[in-house]
Amino acid sequence: MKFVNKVQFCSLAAMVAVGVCSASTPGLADWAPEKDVEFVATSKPGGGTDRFTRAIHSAIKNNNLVKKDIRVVYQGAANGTQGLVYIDQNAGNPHKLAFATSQVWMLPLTSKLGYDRKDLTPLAAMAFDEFIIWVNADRPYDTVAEFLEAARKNPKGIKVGGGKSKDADHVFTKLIEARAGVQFTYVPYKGGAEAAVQLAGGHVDANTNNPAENLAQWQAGKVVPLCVASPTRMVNTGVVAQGKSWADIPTCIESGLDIKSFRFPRTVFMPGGLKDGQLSFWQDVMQQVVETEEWKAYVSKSGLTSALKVGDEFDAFIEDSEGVGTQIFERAGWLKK
Amino acid sequence: MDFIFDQLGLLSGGFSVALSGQNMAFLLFGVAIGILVGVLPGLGAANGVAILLPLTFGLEPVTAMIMLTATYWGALLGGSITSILFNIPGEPAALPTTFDGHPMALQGKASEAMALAFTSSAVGAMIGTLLLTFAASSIADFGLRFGAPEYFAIYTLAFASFIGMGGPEPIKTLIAIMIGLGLSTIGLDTVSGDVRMTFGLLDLIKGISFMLVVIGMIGIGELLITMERNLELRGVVARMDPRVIFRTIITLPRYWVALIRSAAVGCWMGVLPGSGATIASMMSYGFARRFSSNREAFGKGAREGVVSPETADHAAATSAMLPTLTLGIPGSGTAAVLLGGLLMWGLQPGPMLFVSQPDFVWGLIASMYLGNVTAVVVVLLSAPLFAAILRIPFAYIGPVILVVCMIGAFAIAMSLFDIYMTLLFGLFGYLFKKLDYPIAPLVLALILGDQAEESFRQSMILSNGGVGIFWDSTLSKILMTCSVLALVAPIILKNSTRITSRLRDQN
Amino acid sequence: MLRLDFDVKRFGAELAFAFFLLLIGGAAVAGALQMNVGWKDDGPGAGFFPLLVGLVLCAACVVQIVLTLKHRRTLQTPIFDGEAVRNLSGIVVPTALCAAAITVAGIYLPAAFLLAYFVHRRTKRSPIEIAAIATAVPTALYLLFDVALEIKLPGGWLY
Repeated sequence: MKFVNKVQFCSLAAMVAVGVCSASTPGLADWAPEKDVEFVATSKPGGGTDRFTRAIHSAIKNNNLVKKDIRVVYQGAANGTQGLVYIDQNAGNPHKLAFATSQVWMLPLTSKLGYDRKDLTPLAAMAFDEFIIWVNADRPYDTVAEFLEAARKNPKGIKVGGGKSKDADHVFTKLIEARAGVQFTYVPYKGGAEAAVQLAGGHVDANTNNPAENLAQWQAGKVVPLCVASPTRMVNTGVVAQGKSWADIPTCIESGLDIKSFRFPRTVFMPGGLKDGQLSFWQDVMQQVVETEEWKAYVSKSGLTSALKVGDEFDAFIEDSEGVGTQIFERAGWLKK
Repeated sequence: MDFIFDQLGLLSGGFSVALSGQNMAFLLFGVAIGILVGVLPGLGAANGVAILLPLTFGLEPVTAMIMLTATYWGALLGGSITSILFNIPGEPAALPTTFDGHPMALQGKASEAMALAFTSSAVGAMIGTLLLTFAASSIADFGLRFGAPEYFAIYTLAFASFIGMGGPEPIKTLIAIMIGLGLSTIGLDTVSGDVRMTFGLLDLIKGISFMLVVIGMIGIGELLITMERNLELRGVVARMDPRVIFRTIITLPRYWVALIRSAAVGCWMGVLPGSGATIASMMSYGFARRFSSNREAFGKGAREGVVSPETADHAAATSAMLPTLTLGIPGSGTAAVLLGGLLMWGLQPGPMLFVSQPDFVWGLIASMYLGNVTAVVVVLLSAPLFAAILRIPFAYIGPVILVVCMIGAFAIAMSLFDIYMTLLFGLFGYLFKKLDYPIAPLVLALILGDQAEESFRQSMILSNGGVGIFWDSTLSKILMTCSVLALVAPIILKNSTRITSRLRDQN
Repeated sequence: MLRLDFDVKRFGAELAFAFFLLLIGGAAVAGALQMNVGWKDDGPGAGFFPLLVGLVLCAACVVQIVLTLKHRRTLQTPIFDGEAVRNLSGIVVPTALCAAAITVAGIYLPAAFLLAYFVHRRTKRSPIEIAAIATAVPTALYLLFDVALEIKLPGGWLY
């Protein structure tokens, strides 16, 4: 009697368990947004992050990838930290996405910002903004080699302008210093736009802006690009300025500067505490986005490189980037105490 | 001469773009919204335009830009209405208009004050737009010559123009300036990358916006002062008498010195990135007072005290479009929002914009002439309407003003914390007004402090710590000398009149 | 009940405010000292100007206190009395409560209550009229901001 009951009980329990499991999984795998969605742009309107957010927004809307309404909100204060704190505070909410850059994991290394990047869910890195070494057109250096030679002869004499302090431009400058054995004087301005104008006006000798930031000044003949910190040359071969194209700019490695790659990823993050199906839904959406015409047009117009990283690949990228950042910050003495 | 004809040709092309039915409709709409935004104390041009910006995503760029710039001009004008009638600037740039505009209204001259304000605004706007029409590329090049030391020299000049603004108790003015400077250092420091003076409050990382302080200290503060004696915030009854308006317009040329000087200050502040209509109007008022033969009249209803800031802020607003379009650097806070729009619509501001998008640029410039004229006409016609709305009993209008102020404060950075900050500043402003501490120097110091310090430290980085860099380039030499003169001149003038009068007495 | 028939002389108010500002100056100095206040090769550190500003502020406040004490006799006019407290608290308290409520209830509901309170206290309208006004205005604001302008104002638990 007892034996039969035990076997019956166990098999009954097993059947129930299997039944419960198979009943719950289909629900999660088919998750789709139930409410209106919020795209949080961690910048002011018009900034690079804003255009990134809007490009994805139109790609999704025009191709009907998400059924619910999507609203773009701006939470750009304090270098976008405002938006990230907002996302952090909305743990478990799969209807809010934050669009940012590598600031998400880089900025916390140097300042106390009120969120832990490990509490956020990384969704995807979707495009990379290149870094180019630009010089003022009136300066005598035509190649990176000449530029670095001049820097070597004149420690701290060459002035490099960049956006903000201890941010990407500054880090890149420090990286060049380390790899080329030179010392620059870095002058922080409010952002890439200001650095572009200051370079055009000749108040600094060089800057490390992204392609889009200096394009107008290049077209006007005020600044000249020397090399791009990317493993391969940029792909756009259409003429953009002064008879040249983006693809005409040599890579840093080609020009003798040992920096294989320094790029600014455009990223999407979500609140922590999500359920499995929710994250994979959005990953799918982003994979579809990069195939759309809207995305391709955006990438080409902005001089970006489209490259999607999700899941483990993205996590590994973050870890790697954080590691490099920590190294550079440690050496420069900027690490948060 | 060829050049002028060329530009006029391009401009007439622009008019054909601007005069389309759709664009004119949006222009009118923009003006109306702008005036409304300007009249409401909680919303200013910058956050008003920022609020409207996302809506324009689907429009043609030139239409969107026409509408938003029309909002800008309308907001500046609307702000003057509340300044004159209620002693509360509806828009930060209208703050100096309260100094003489409201006393004029109290003396029963509200119509005159408003007519003066609106027509001087029109003159300032025209001059700024003319500058944009004929001098865009050369001024743009001029703008490139401004590096950190030059900027610092400009800020010094702005401060110098404001010394002596505080009234009879210089120590209180000093305290106000110091508080303003202190508040401006709160937040992320560009030069060092550190977060300063936040005392652990994360919401302060973004700093304290001057709009918050204006809404709080001046707007809510004024409300509290009036309510203290249970007075109704009724403001001054104003009937716009067309004869008075006409007469006032006729007398405007009498102030040609003030007009030209203020337009110059305005254009300059507009063209320079980082300083805009608010600084322009305050600087212009400061200079007007300094250089006037009748200094005592200022603050009590001096007409020049209304003409000067109004001309300057509109000149600044229009000429702020210059660096925005040609360099991609905003000439003022609101222009920064407009720049965001340009980028959002896929346009690339820069020297090539005039060449690659002439329809857009010239359509916009043409719309600036039309927009400013339209705005002035609309506001002259509708001023009595707004004045009437604001005569609604305080029981209804009071809480609405408070709520709009809270919304306006929130809208600056979409932050709830800002609402509390504004209310706290409201109390602070009440105490300031009650105990005769001047608020205007505080606001100026708040706007300029961080920028001036940043330029100074950038200059130090460039010069490796040498202070001589401020006298290196011709430009900064001129500016620094002007600042020194501006600081020292009134003292000399005062002493020289004392000496001459003593000599006269002796004789 | 609160004794509201007091008055505060200008002297006391000036003195108290100056002391308050002195404390603020002290806080500024304290905040500045947490940072780098030196002047190196590349110019002043992040704390230099805040420190300078804080010190000058403290000094100015001290001078102001001294001046106030010196002119004690001329500052005996009453500046603040019970009536003022009553009038001001009539605005400050409801507004503060409204603001506090915004965090949980969004902006529209507390605004409705604020409006209702003011109308009730200052006019003789019937409760129905008050309710009508108090729903109409926030609804208008909602239509203006949330619907037409698409800015989501804080909604609290409403949405």
